[in-house]
Amino acid sequence: MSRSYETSSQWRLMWRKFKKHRLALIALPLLLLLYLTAVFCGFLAPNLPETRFVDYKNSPPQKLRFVDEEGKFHLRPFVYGYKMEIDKESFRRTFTADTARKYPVHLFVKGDSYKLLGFIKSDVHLFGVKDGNPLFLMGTDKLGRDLFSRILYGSRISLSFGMAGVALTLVFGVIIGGISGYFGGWVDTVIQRLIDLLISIPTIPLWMALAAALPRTWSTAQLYLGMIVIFSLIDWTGLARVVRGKLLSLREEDFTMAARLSGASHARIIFRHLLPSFYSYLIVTTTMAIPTTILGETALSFLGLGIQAPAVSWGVLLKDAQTLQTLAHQPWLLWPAAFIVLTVLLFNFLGDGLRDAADPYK
Amino acid sequence: MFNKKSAVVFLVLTLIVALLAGCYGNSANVTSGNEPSSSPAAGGSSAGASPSASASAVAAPGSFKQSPFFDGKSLPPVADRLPKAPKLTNEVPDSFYKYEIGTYGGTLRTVRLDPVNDADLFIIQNEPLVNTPGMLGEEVTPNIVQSYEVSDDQKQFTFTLRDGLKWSDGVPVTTEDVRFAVEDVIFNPELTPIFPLWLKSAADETGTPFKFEVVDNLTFKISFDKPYGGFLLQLAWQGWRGYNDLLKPKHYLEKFHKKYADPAELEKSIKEAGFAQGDWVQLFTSKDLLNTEATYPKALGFPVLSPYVLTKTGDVIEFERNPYYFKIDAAGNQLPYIDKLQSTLVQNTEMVNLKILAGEVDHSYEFLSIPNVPLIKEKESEGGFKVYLNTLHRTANDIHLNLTYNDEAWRKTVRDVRFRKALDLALDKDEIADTVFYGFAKPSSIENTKRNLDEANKLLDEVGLKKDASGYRIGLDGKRFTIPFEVSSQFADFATLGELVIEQWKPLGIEVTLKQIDAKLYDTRNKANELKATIMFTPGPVQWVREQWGQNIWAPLWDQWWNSGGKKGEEPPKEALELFKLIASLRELPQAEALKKREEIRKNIGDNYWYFIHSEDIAAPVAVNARIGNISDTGWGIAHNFAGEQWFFKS
Repeated sequence: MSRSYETSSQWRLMWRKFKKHRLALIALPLLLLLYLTAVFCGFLAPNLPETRFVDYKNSPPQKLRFVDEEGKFHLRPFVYGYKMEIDKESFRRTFTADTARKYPVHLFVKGDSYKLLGFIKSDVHLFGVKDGNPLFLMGTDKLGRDLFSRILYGSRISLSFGMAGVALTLVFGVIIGGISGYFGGWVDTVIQRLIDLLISIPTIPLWMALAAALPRTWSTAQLYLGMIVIFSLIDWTGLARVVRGKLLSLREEDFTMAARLSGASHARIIFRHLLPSFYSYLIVTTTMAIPTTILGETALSFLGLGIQAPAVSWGVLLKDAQTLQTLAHQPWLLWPAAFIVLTVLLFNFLGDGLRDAADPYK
Repeated sequence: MFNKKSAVVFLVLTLIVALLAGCYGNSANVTSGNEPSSSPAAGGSSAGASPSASASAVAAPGSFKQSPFFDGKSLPPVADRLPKAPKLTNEVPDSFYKYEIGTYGGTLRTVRLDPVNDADLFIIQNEPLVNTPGMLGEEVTPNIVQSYEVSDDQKQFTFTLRDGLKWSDGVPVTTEDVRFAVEDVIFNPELTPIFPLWLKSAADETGTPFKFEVVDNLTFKISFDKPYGGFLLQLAWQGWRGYNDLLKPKHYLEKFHKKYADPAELEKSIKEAGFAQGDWVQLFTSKDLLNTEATYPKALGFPVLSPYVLTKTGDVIEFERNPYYFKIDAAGNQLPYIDKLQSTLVQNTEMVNLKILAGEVDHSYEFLSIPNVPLIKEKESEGGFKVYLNTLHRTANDIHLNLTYNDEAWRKTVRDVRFRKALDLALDKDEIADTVFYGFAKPSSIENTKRNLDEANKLLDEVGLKKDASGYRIGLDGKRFTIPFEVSSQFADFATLGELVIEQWKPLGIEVTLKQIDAKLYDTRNKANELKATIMFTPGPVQWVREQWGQNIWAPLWDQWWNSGGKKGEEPPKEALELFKLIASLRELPQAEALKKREEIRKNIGDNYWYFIHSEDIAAPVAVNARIGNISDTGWGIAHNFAGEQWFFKS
């Protein structure tokens, strides 16, 4: 090994180790991309989540085409409008591509106005068709709303929920676990037994009970925060255990004794000396906790206990897809599930890579 | 396992029936099943059909036929089991379908979501004293009673029971059973602490209770001190009344009634049932079968007059035909045609759909919704079932704003008729029909506005709701005006409509939110006047005789005031009071006048937009076994369900 290896900082060593984990290396930029999508959903989505195309209810996805009906190739992709018919026999709505109506897809199209990041007013969409014509790459729902746009908007709640939930979990976990491990004694016993109790309760019923207890008069924003608190209240236990275990061993170390002798306060010892020595563990645990929280939100919204329509999250979108009817006739309504699977997988790969990297000296 | 067995039984039965039919040679005999009947619409004294005449016109005594199901069961002959003048069945008018003489046999399988209540079977089992064919309310015919007579002043009603009518255990039905139900149950303050409104004069809270008189063994009189023209329809129709309130099997129930039972025996029964000492009221209530309880476990062994008798409870509920059922068809066959009913408990509506698809359900009305029709329809030929699109006997999802919600600014706004008109103008009813009902409904003719956003916005400006910088309207209290919908999660279409309404009202600058709440919570909040806005169906716009035009939803406090005779709630303003009076007046009037009055109600609602009735002629899908005869897609689905004793399996 070269000398640079020996003198490398801990973080540099971790990065090296992380780079060896291929899947994690792919997952990281993809996740960043997903989160950027959530942030700029207004710009990226061709339609607003609540815009209804009244003639296109439960319509299948439009195909993005380059070759038209005469076999001519177009560099600019286009979609066909749909002709809807209700079959008098089967009562089904059938959609056939109407080759007479061709809508070329343009970049930076002016469409419905939205607020980027919540305050920049704009009506430019990354791509779309002109004059309010329909474009739905993943089909529409029962009210004729573009599913693709709704998934992008839904990612705001679903993805941020994981982050925000875990952030709060981290705070609870570190503080309570820290107190438990650092002080030990009866404080430790009480906290540990409390954790035992919390862990012993099956999570889904507990989530459901707590979610059902949220006042029904709350607005979507309040519900969102309320649910984050619910998840953190249950999820902090695992993290607290890790923190406690680490602190129990570290507080006996010489450097802790040295800090104590030089008169450092408890808080300073914990946050300046003890915590930094296992940051890497915290990062790993946190990363692994994010997908669980995302799945939890999805589960509750799917059951109708979490975020409710007209707010959009992936769970809310999937709620529409839980009928037999969907599986048989509108399978495209399952697209949000694909996004959930992708996100959870990416986070697991990332977490895996981070775990490998967490202890670079091994 | 069971299916195989029942299939074999069915096959054997069909064979027997086919043989018998061959012997009698009546298999091709098709005739309409209507008994000559009288209509109270004619006003004045209208005697019921002369039973002996109608019976002999149909089938001479002795030529009655029974199901092979009873063969060898040591029962008296069918002619002795039937009343002297059996009722010639007339559950639906000729316009619904041409009555086919059916063949006996088979088991009708249904599914249910409630542990004890099967709505589909409960409707089949329901038997009122008098009925109205097709549930249309256009004519009233005798059903359990043989005839009835209404006095000229619409105050006195005389009923004559069918001679020889018997409970399902073979005990004759007499006026003693009516007297028991009236004097010992309805007029017993312990058993009936709150006297039923519909049995007071003109169903009015301030009215006096009815007077009851036994004339002879078969005739009894019910009289009121004020005209009560709607009483017959109350009996025939309102709230699936059935016969159960006015006719109870005394011989079965008297052993649980303090007045008749031996005290020691009664105390023993109370103890066995696990009630507190002396609590005979609880015991009696737990034994007495109400009209809504036809499929409850307590129906086991309870003598009934309905087409079927409960034989098994649990996850699978089973019924067998009632040997003493009083209806026949024109060929003298004792009804019902189908021998058994079987109801299976399933987890959710998805399971209902799966069962229908697998061909394991012979009739399902309650849990089939329009969005599922294409899926079911697709498998129609493979599954051996058929989907009929009948019409719904009520609206599906009207929009209500609570006019009596406790908030001055809200009240002032929503009580302004211009405001309500503006909201109605903003509704796109064609889109609602297309989205919520998949096109199987029409925009309502009661509030028949075309969407006009300009006019709607103008009206809102007039009301004084100004827009703020972000385009939202400000309420009269200076806060953003919000309409918070809270809808029951029991019905999926409520949320669909809610989401649509949010979007349709958005161009008005009105913030609308939507929340789905549990059905029980909805009930509590509605009763406590805590719902500001909601979505719920109402029967009034469709079943003209029903009094439920959603008053308890769009104005709970006014409704309470009206129903408590001014003791509770708040007094409605003049225009609303007028509507309440109009609706109530239906009860007093004879039918022809009531039908006219109904137009006034529709006009009042159309002028005042008390609540938003957006659609009518809504489809009610029903999935039935393709072999079932005497059913069609004309009329209300519920009316066909009600005529379930006329169904039969075609071979």
